[in-house]
This record gives sequence, structure tokens and C-alpha cells, in this order.
Amino acid sequence: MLGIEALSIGHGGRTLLRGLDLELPAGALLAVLGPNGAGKSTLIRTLAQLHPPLGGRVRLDDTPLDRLERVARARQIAYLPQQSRPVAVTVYEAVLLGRVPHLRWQTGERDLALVDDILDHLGLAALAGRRCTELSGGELQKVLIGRALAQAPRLLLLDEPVNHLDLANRLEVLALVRRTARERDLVTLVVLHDLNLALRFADRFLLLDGDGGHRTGDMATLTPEQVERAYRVPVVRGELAGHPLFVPI
Amino acid sequence: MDASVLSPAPRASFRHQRRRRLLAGLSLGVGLMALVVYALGQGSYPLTAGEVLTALRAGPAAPDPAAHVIWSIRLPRLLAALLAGMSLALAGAVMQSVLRNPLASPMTLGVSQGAAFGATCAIVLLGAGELNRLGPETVVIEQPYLVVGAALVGGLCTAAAILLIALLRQLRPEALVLAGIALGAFSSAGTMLVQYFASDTQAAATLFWTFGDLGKAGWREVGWLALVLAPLLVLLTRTGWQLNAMAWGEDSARALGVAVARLRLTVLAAGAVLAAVSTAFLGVIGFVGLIAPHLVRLIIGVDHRYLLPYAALAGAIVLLGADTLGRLIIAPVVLPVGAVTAMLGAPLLLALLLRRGER
Repeated sequence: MLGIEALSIGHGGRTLLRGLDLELPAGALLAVLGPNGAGKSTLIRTLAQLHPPLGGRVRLDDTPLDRLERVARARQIAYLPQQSRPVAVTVYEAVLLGRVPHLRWQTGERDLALVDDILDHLGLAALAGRRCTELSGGELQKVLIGRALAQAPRLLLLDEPVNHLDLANRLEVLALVRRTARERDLVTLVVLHDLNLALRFADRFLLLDGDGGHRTGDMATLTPEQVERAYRVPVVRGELAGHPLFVPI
Repeated sequence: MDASVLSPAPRASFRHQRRRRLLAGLSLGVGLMALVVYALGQGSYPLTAGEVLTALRAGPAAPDPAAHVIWSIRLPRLLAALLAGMSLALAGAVMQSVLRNPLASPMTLGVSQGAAFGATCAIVLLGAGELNRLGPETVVIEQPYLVVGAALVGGLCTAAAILLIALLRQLRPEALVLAGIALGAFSSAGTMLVQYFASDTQAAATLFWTFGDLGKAGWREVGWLALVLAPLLVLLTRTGWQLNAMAWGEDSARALGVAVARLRLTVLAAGAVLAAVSTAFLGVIGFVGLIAPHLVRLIIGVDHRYLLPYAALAGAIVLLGADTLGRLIIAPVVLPVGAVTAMLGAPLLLALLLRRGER
């Protein structure tokens, strides 16, 4: 369970988000939404302890995050930055890298078994010996998610994981993230630009309005008024083929 | 049919890769041993491989002239080549990784020149040694601690400047190397200025630092090089996983629990110490630190757990090979190894630059 209390974030003397209170149970998938520059990435980086908060408390299963020592933190929190340039190592090595916070000196049988399992889970087993530089965007993103899972975290933080992917890969990667979050009981936060993708895969929503304010809750929170206020674009909400949908007008 | 049912577990490919890498390491080791025996046999007093091994077994005190040639003349020079080659290659490999810059090396970043400047200052301004025409070794460093210390200061200051430049301005690889060339040129100019005001004997003594020469190495220098290399080799090899994480970017590495700033600082400092110490005793030897890591990457890829020790092996091979070439090519004249490596390495640096430019 992730418990956020009165969290304020920002950088360079600017407050991006004030007084966020949020509680997320294990297995929940939260979509972080909002216009460019509203602080979505900063929030994710703050939660990953890569950026200091302006105030507030964050607990993960009753442990305050800022109390966690560097390596202990890496065993609890996995973070995928917005964009990773691939390195010319094999898919297997890239996923195995996620075991670094758990290693003492060498990889053991357990690490290898775990990586095998993750590669199967992600459908990447056949690519194990392929170099990451030779992968498609969707495959690379799955490898990076695999690395995050190899950390065996409780909290999974994904910053725009589907931004440069095509439609099929967006759906596949997000479905995979949702399935993983449920099966492995992870608290998952995903930064997304596409409202409709968020509606389709997330069960909680955090909408940043760019002025320090925010709305959080389930799907009902995302009213056309709130969305318009955040993105400054008038929208209507409808439904198509059973999927809720926002359309700018 | 499901492909995963037919293919073996994913780790099979990993195991296969590990076997191939161990085999590559073994080949490098065997190649180095062969080169060692060959290099020990070559010279104005030629020895066969069998004679070399007999002389090695006979020990330094044996009355046999072959034993004298091996133990007093060729072995210290050879060990200096191995140790300096390892030090420079290791320094180059970690500099390339930590600065994420394929063109980084002790020479291209100016660290070697900075160390040479420091050593020159120690000899001329602090009077740490001068030319001695009596012995077979022409330079006698009377205060090795002072010279090594000054070389360390020079090398570390240059490394610190490079690190600052790299951190404050996100320079492109080519630009960072240009900054290194500027710092190197500054150090070289400083060396020349100091030489200009030195006495003749002192100037002659410092001239050695402008080009690397293994002829300076005796058993004492070999001992120093080994003393510095051994702990740093262990320290750096242990950072293999962390450097692998760094390759994916700073944020990724931090999220994996790597203390990025501390790692970068310690690793770069260790690299600068390695480069500075070998420069202090042998002078500026360029391009070994640049080439050796790239050769190893071509063979086994970018996994630092293998790259660092293998780069050290490759550096030993390259420097010993270059020195052997320098001893034999116009024998009995012995070319300074720094000139040989530069001759061989400059085209390679150009090739690297041009290939990057194409992309």
C-alpha cells in the first residue's frame, strides 16, 4: 500500500503540486494525467526519491520512503525514466540488471530463475539472446519493464512508457502493465498523455491542472469540466463500443 | 506452435554467452603468455623459447649470461610494459564508461600530460632528480615519492577539471575530447616552459616525460606500478555491475541503487591515479588506453564485469607488442614505446572520430 500525505512537489522555487493526499492499495494502477509541465514527471521522480519533495510524507507498507537506504529503496521501488537509449547488451542481461540491488557479488541460480520467469511472463523468451539495440520500440519497453520487475519491487513508477509506441504496442504494453500490477500485487503509477488509454487501463486517476491543484479518484473524477480546466481544451465525454472516451470539441 | 516450448530456457543463451566470454578471456591470456615468451627471447642476445624458460627457472642469481639478460634487463622492462599497459587500458575503459564517451582515455583527456607536467615540476623546480651519465639508465630519480606525488597531483587536477566540464556542460563526446586536448596542450606548454628554465641536466631528465619509454623501468618502478595497480584493479572490477547500470543513464542507475556521484568520482579518480603513476615512471604513453577497451568491446561486448579485466589484458598485449616492435623494427636502435603507440594509435583515433561523424 502506498500512502501519500500532504505531499508538495516542485523545483527551481516553483511549486507544481500542493497538498496531495492519496492512498493506493496493492494491485492498483494509477494514471497520472495533466498538461505538459504540470509536474507529472516530477511527481514520479519525487516518489522514486530522485528528487526532493517540498513537503509531506510518503509511506510504502508503513515504511517512510525517505527513511529507506539507497539499496533497500531499489528493492522496493522500480522506476522507468521517460526515455532510455538502448545499450548493446542482450535482452537477458538487460533484465538481469534489475537484480543489481539484490546481488552481493555474483548472480545466483535464483536470479537466473527469476529472469527466466519474467521473460516468459512478458513473452520475451525467444528474444533473450538478442541485443537491445536491435529491438523495436515496443520490445525495448517490455524489456525495461522486465528489468523493473526483476527488482521485485512493491512500487512501480513508469514515466510515459508508451509515448513513442504505435497503437498496437500501446495497448499491449499497458495491458501487460495492468496484468502485472494485479498478478504481482504492485502499486503502479503510470504517466500518460492519452486520456482514453488511461480510461481504458487505469483504475485510479490523478489529474494535475498545472496550477498546483489536482483531482484524484476513480473514473467518475474525470468530468469534462475537470479535463477542460486542466488541459484548457473543451471536451465531451461519451462512450464507444463499451469504452468511455473524451473527445475535444 | 509456441516457440518457448521448443527453445530451451532463456538462460541457455546467457550461459552460452558466458562460456564464449570465458573462452575469449582464456585466448587473451594464452596470447599474452606467448607474446611474453617471444618478447623475452628477442634482442641483441637472442634466446629460444626453451632458453627463456630455463633462464626464468634458474633465477636472478644464476651465473648463466642468459639468466642475467632475462632477469636484469628484459624482465623489468617487460613487466613494466605489462603493468603500464594494464593500468592505462583500465584507466581508459573506466573513463569511457563513466563519462559515457567512447573517445575518453588518459591521453585524450590530458590526464597523462598533466601527470607529466607534475613530474617535470618536481624534477626541475623541486630538484627531485637529474640526468646521470654514468649508469646504463640515464635518469636517476632521487626522490621517487616526490615525483610520483607531483605526477598524481597533475593527473588528478586534470581529471577533476574534465569531470567539472563534463558535469557543468553536457558536452558532446567530441567537444569533451577537445576540452581534454586543450588541457593536455596547456600541460605540455607548461612542461616546455619549466624545461626552458631548467639546467641542462635537468632538462635532459625531463625530456623523457614528453615521450614514453620503457627503458626507464627497473625493478623499483615495476614494484611501484604493481603496488598501485593491484588494489585498483580489484576495486574497479568490483564496480562492473554498477557501471553496467550507468550505461543506461544516471536516473536508471540511481533507481537501481547505484550511488552515481560517488561511483563517478571514485572510478574517475582511480583511473587518473593509474594513468598518473604509469606516466610518472615511464612518461606519456598514448593510445593504449583508448584502443584496448575498444578492441575488447569488439570481441565480448559492453558488459563491464568482463570488459574491465579483459581491457587490462588487452592493454598489456598492446603495449608489450608495441614495445617489442619498437625494439626490433630498426634494431639495434630501440624506439621509445610512446612513439610507436602514437604511430599505431593515431590512425585508429581518426577512424573512430570519422565513424562517429558518419552517423
